[in-house]
Amino acid sequence: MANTFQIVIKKGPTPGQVIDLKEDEVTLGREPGNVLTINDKGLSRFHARLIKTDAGYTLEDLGSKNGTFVNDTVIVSPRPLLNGDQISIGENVTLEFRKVSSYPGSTSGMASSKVEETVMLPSRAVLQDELNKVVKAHAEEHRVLFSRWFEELWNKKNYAITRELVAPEFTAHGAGGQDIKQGPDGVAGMVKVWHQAFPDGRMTMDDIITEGEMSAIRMTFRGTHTGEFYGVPASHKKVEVTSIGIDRVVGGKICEGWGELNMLGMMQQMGAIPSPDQAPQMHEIEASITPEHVGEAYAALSSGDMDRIRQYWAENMVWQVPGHNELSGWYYSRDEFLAFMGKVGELSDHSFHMDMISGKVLVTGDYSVDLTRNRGHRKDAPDKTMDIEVAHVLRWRDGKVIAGKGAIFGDGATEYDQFWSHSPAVTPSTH
Amino acid sequence: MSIEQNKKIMTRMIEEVWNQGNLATADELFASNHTSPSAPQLPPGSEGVKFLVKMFREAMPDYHMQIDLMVADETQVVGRFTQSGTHTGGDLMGMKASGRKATWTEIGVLKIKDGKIVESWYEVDMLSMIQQLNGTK
Repeated sequence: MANTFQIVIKKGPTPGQVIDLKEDEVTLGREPGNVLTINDKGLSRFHARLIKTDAGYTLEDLGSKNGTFVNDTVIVSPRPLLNGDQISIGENVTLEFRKVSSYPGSTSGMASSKVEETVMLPSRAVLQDELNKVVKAHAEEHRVLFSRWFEELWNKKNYAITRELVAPEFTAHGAGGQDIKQGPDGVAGMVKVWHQAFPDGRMTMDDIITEGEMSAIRMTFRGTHTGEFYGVPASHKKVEVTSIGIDRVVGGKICEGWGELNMLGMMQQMGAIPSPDQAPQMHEIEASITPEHVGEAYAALSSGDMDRIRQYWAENMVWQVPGHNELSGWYYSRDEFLAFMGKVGELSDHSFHMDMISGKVLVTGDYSVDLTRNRGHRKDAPDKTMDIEVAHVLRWRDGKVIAGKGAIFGDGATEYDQFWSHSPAVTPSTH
Repeated sequence: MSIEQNKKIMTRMIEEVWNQGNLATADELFASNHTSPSAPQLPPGSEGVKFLVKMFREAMPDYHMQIDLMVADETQVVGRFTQSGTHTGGDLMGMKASGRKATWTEIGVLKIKDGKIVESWYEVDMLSMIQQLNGTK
């Protein structure tokens, strides 16, 4: 029994040519000084080399300009070659690596058309050694492929890469009830759904387990829910979801996948399904409107910058002003609310200001409550002043205020009505 | 452990513990310090899986888990499963028995050290199961 090895030029200047590998080192490149010279402008002068090992040959890139690929995956370190591996060097050249096995006595140097893999009986050590190399080579190839998959497709939004990494006949099974269409476009479409719902989303690969052409991957997706996701409107919550996938890789392309993800936990994090545990979950507290967000909304309001105001105050918001004065009552839209704030500025000669009492913001579910100190004096009456504490209850949707109410405590309510009334600050001097 | 040994542990967990309800096998297969990041609220060791097996088998007397495929290396084994059951028994995740049948899938990962399961991760299509049992799907 003996093994010989061959390179078959599948694509290139001399397609069909079969080269028997005899040397321990076979250099490939454009220059005549190579063992195997292939005259194609896509190749570097000395592009790659094959090194003989006990089990066969290892392929190594020699720092070529365009890189060396095995089954469409770029090689970054010496790669043991397996029977049938497709080696791409430059755009125009593809070589196939072949192992030819024969029993003693059979015709050596058989015609290339009769190349076939024959079961043989090598020593157990050689077999184990070869097996280990194959296992490692597969694992490395899959690790490189899936690292690119996550970084390019999920994190850099390079949808075109699905054409490189996904087979046209790709089929998905499961995946948390998602309806994934077949082929590279189907996969890109599924990932786009996630990107539209979570534009800041990042996917990390937590672990990869490879056996032959199968790889199982544990991964985690983290992102902020700012767009619709399978019918769930934006919740502006931070979502963290784990998933596990199993993929079959053939010829450097993913051709079948099984997936499961914690869709239930995700729906609960987005608030679309109530959590079975009635106590607020830690991630919900972290993910809902923060006290800082409430502070930013007030800061936007006092800046007068409409772009900033639009970020925090909904167009169809309503606002209720307490008391029995000419400003009291409901305001039905952001424009009306801003007109009210303008009137407050005008009547107080822009002296009116609200200071958030530090640390006095409570957030629960859709609601926030904050405490402010409101001060000012009336225009043309500097001695007619007001200094009251006000509690505001704000209701939030999609990160914006949709409803707000003010509440004034104790004597403040009288002081507030008095301030906006036409009555003088003190008893008229004429009386 | 070899790939075959690791797959054998996965197969025993499914067949003996889940499908036959043999909880003693769980004590044999799980290390006492086993934890699952997928279910941190469950107790360590074999108690967590025993709790889940009891809950599902009491809620669904015809509960069955089928191994669709397995992938393993020397330290971990991964399985994809299809489960089914009719909710005619005890409460399940806050739901009363509805008499409805559900079929749902899962992928689980077991990390194995010295012949024992030391860590596990699983993702279950629980949303689909709930929707089938409460009649919204």
